[in-house]
Amino acid sequence: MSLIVKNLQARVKDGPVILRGVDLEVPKGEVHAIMGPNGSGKSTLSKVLCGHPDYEVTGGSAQLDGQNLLDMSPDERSRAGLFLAFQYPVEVSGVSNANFLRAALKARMPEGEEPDAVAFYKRLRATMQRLGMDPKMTARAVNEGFSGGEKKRNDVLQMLILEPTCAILDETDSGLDVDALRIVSEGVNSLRAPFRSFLVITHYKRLLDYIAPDVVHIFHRGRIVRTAGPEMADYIEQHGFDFLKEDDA
Amino acid sequence: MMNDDATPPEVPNRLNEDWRYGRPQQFAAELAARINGRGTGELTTDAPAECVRRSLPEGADACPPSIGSDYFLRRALQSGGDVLHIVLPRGEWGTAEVPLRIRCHTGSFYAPQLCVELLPGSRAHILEEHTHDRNSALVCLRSYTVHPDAELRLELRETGDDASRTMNISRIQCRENARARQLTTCSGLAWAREETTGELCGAEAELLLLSANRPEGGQWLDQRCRQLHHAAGARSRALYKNVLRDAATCIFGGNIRVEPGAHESDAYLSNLNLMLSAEAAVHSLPQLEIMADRVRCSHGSASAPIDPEQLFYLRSRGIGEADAQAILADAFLHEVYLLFNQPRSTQP
Amino acid sequence: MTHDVDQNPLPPDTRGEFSFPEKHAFDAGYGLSEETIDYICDAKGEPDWLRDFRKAALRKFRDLPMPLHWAPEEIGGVDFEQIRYYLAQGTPAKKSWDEVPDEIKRTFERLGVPEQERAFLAGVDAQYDSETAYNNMREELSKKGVIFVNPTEGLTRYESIFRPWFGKVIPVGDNKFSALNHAAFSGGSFIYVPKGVKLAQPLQAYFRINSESLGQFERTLIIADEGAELMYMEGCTAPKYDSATLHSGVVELVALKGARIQYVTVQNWATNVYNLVIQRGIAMEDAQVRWIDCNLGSRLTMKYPAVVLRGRRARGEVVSISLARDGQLQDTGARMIHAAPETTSNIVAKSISIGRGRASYRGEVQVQRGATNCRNRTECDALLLHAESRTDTYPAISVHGDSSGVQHEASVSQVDEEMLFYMQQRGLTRAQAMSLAVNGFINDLVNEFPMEYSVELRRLIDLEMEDSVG
Repeated sequence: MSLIVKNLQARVKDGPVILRGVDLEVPKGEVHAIMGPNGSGKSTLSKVLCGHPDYEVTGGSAQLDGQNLLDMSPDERSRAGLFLAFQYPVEVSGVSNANFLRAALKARMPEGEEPDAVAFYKRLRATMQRLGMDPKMTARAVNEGFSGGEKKRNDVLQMLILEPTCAILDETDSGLDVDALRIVSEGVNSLRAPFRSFLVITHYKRLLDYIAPDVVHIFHRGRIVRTAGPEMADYIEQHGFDFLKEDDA
Repeated sequence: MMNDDATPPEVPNRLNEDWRYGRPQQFAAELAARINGRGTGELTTDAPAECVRRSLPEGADACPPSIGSDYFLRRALQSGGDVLHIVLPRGEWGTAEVPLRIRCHTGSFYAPQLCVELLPGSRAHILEEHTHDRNSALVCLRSYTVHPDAELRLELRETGDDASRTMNISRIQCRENARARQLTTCSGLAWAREETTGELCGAEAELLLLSANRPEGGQWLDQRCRQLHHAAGARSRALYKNVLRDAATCIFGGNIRVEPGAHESDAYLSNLNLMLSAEAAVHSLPQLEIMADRVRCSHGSASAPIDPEQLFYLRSRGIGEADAQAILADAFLHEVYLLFNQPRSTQP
Repeated sequence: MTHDVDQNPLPPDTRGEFSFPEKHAFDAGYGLSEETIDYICDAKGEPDWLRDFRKAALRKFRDLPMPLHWAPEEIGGVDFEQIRYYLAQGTPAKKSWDEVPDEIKRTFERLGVPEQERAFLAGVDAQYDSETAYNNMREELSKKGVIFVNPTEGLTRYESIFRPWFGKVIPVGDNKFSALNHAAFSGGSFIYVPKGVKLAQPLQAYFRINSESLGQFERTLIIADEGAELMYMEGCTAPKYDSATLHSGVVELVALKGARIQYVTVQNWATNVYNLVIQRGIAMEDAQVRWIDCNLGSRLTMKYPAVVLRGRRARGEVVSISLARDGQLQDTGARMIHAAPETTSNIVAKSISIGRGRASYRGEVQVQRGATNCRNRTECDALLLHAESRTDTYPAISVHGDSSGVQHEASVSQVDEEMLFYMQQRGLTRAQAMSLAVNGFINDLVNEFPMEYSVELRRLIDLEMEDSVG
C-alpha cells in the first residue's frame, strides 16, 4: 500500500472545519482521481496531506509507505516521496528555477554532497524539452511572471526531476490549453510505474482523458462519498454533480 | 570647519531628527574612548601613481556634507588621518577594478579622507574595502565627484569584528549626464552608521544607491541617505535591503529632496526589511520633500517576515526549513546585486 | 475679509467669513497665568481639584519646549501672550435654538447647523468662542443612558464616568500643546454611550470662533462602552482677522471591548488660524477607532490623529484629505501604535497643494515588542498643482519581531496636462477641468465621509479651485 488516509479531519486554523473524515487508499502503481464540486474541500485535502501551515488536523491518520505523514514537517513529507503539483504554484522571486531544483535535490542527498552540476543541467534541459519549455526558463525566477500554463508546466517539471513515489496533482489541468494538456499528461504518464502512485484532483473529466485513472472518488462536503471505476468520470461529464443533492436531502 | 579644541562640539542628541532612533551619544563615547589610543590605520590604493595624490586639492570642496553628524565630521578632521586624492582621467577604467583599501588598527581611532574625481568622459569601477582589526573605530570621509559624461561603479565592503564601530560620511556628486552607482555591504561590526548624500547637479544625471546587509547578533546598522535633486531632468534610485536575524536593529533614514526648479526629476526610494527573528527591530524613515513641478517621485518601505506560502512551496519540494529560509533570504537581497550589475541601458 | 451680514443665504456658508460684534460677560484678557486660570475656574464654577489640575498643567506647559526639532518653522508664529484665553456670554448652554441669543443663533443658522440637526443628526453641540451656546440631543438617546454634555458638566455631574479617562489617552505632559489644553480647556463635548447602544445617527459639534485673538481650547472625551457604536462629526469656522487665532483642542476617544467610534472632522478655519490639535483614540479588544479627517482651512494645521491599539484584534483607521492653498501649511498625518497582538491598521492620506501651498504628511507606525501578527498598510498620495507648490512626506515606521507586516507607499503626481487639454477641448474652463481632476484624485476618500458631508466637501473643493485656478 502506498498512501493510506483514515478518517482524516481538518479545519482552517481558528476557522471552519473543511475535512470531515476522509478515507482513501491509493495502492502503488495506481492512479486515483478525485472529482467534486467547487468548495467541496478537494484542494484542502491535498494541502493537509502535504502539511500546509494554514490547516490544523483534528483527527484521523495519513500514512505514506507505512510512515506517519502527520508527524512530519512539509519538507520531510516531500523527502519521504510525497509531491504536490499546486493548484496555484507560488512565485519565488530572486531564486532561479535551476538553483531551486538543485537545492531540492541536494536536500535529498547525504549531508555535504551536491548533485553533479553537468549531469543535472543535462537532465534538466532534456526534461524541459520534453515539456516544451524554453531553456531560458532555467535562469528565470521560480514562477515569477509566468503565465498560468507555464506555472503548471513548471510544477510538472519539478515532479519529473524529483521523482516522487506519490504525486498529487491539484487541478493541474486548469489554465492549460489542449497542446499543453497533452504535453503535461505525457510527462505524468512517463512517470507511471509499479512503485508509484498518483492522486489526480480535478473538476473536469478533460485531464482524465489523458491520464487514465484506475479509480474515481467523488468528494463532497469534506469527505469521499462515492468510489467507482473510470466510468464514473463519464457519468459526471454528462450529468454533473446534481446527484449529490440527494445526499444532502 | 575646524573646531577649536577648547570648545568641544555639541554631540548630536535625540532631538536631532537625522539621528532619530540612533545612538549618537553612545557612538561619541566609543570614539572618545579610542581617540587617544595608539596606532592608526592604513589607506592604500593600486590606482596608477600618476592619478594619486596624498593631499587634497587647493580650495576644492573635498569634504562631504554630513547628515546631522557635524560633530563626528569635525572630530575626524581634527584627528589628521591620511588623505587620498585620486583623479581618474578619460580612459577605460571600467573593465578593471580600482582597489582602495582602508585598514583600521587594533584599538585605534582612524579617520582617513578620500576624495575621488572622475574627469569628464571617464569610467571607473572602484572597490573600496574597509577592514577593522579588533576593537577599532573608523570615521571615513568620502567624496566622489562624477564629472559630465563620466560613469562610476563603486562598491564599498565594510567588514569588522563585533567590538568595532564604523562610520562613513559620504557624498556622491553627479554632474550633467554622469552616471554613478554605489553598493554598500556591511558585516560583522557592532555598530555601523553609513551616510550618503547623493547630489544630482546636471540634466540627465543618474544615481543609484544600493545596499544589502544581513545584520545579526546585537548589531546596529544605522543608514541615512539623501537624494538631492538640484538640477532638472535627473534620475535617482535608492534601494536599501536588510535581512535581520537575532537581536539586530536597522535604522534607515532616506530623503528625496527636489529643489525649486528641479523640474522633471525622477526619484525613487525604497527600504525593505526581511524579519527573521522575534527580537529584531527596524526603524524606517523614508521622506519626500518636493518643491518642483512635473516630477515623478515615490517611496516605499516594507518590513515583513518570510512569505509563508513561499516557505511552504520550498518545503513541499523537500528543502528543510533552515535551508528554505536561507534561500529566500538570498533571493530577497538578490535584486540589489542585480541592479548593481546590470548594464546601464537597461536600468528601470 | 470680515463683513457684517444679515441675510440668511442658502446653501450654508461653510467658509464662515463673517462676524458679529463681541458681547461677552466674561473676558480673561490676553496671556495665560495662574490668575487667568482662577478667572476661568471662577467663571465656570469648577471644583478645587480641577483648579489644581489646571495649574499643574500650566507649570508643565511652561516647562515643555516647542517641538522645534521637527515641527515646521511656522509654528514659531504662535505668540501665547497675544491670545485671549476665555471669552463667554456667561449663560448656560441652551436646549432650544429659540433661547440662544439672536446673533449667535443667526451665526449657526448661516452655517447651516440647525438645518442639519433637523435633517440627520442625533444631537448637536454648538460652541461660540469659549463656551457651548446650544447643546441638545434627541430624547430617546437620553433615555438609553447616552450622555452628551460639556466638559465642566461631565467632570462634575458625571465625575465617576469621565474622570477615570480624562487625560489618560492624552496625558498632560504628552507635549506642549496638550499641557496648554489641560490648563486652559473650555467647551467641547463629553460623550458616554452605554454598553451595546448603537447610535443610528451622528452626533455633531460645531466650533465657531467669533472674536479676534481668541484661543479656542475645546476638550472632547468620548467613551463607547462595550459593544457600543457611534459616529461623531465636528465642523469649524472662524472669520479672518488681522491678528492670528489659535485653536488647540484635545480629543480623547475610548473604545472599550467590541466598541466602534468614527470621528469625522471637516476643518475650514480662516487662513490666519493656527490649528494645533491632538486627537488620539484607544481601542480595546475587538474595538475599532476610525478617524476621517479633512483639512481645508487654517494658516497652519498640525494634526496627526492616532489610535493606540491596546486590545487583541483591535482595528484603527485614518482617512485623511488636505488641501493647501497659497500661504497655507497642512501638516497632517496619522499615528498607529500597535500595542497588542493581531491588531490591524490602515492609513490613507491624500493631499493637494495649490499655488504656494504646502501639504505635508507626517506619520508614525509602531509595532511594539510582543505585539505579534499585526498588520499595517499606509498609502500617501500627493497632488501638486503648480510649480511653486510643495509637498513632503515624513513617515516613521518601527517594527519589532518577525510576525508582523508593515507596508508604506507614497507617491507624488501632477494633474495630467493631456487630460486637462482634453477636457478644455470639450468646452470646460481650465478651472473646471482642474476641479474635476482634483475631485477624481480624492473621490474614493470623499466617499468615506457621511453623504451629507461629502456633498458639501465637493462643493467646497470646487469653490477653492475656482478661487485658486480660475
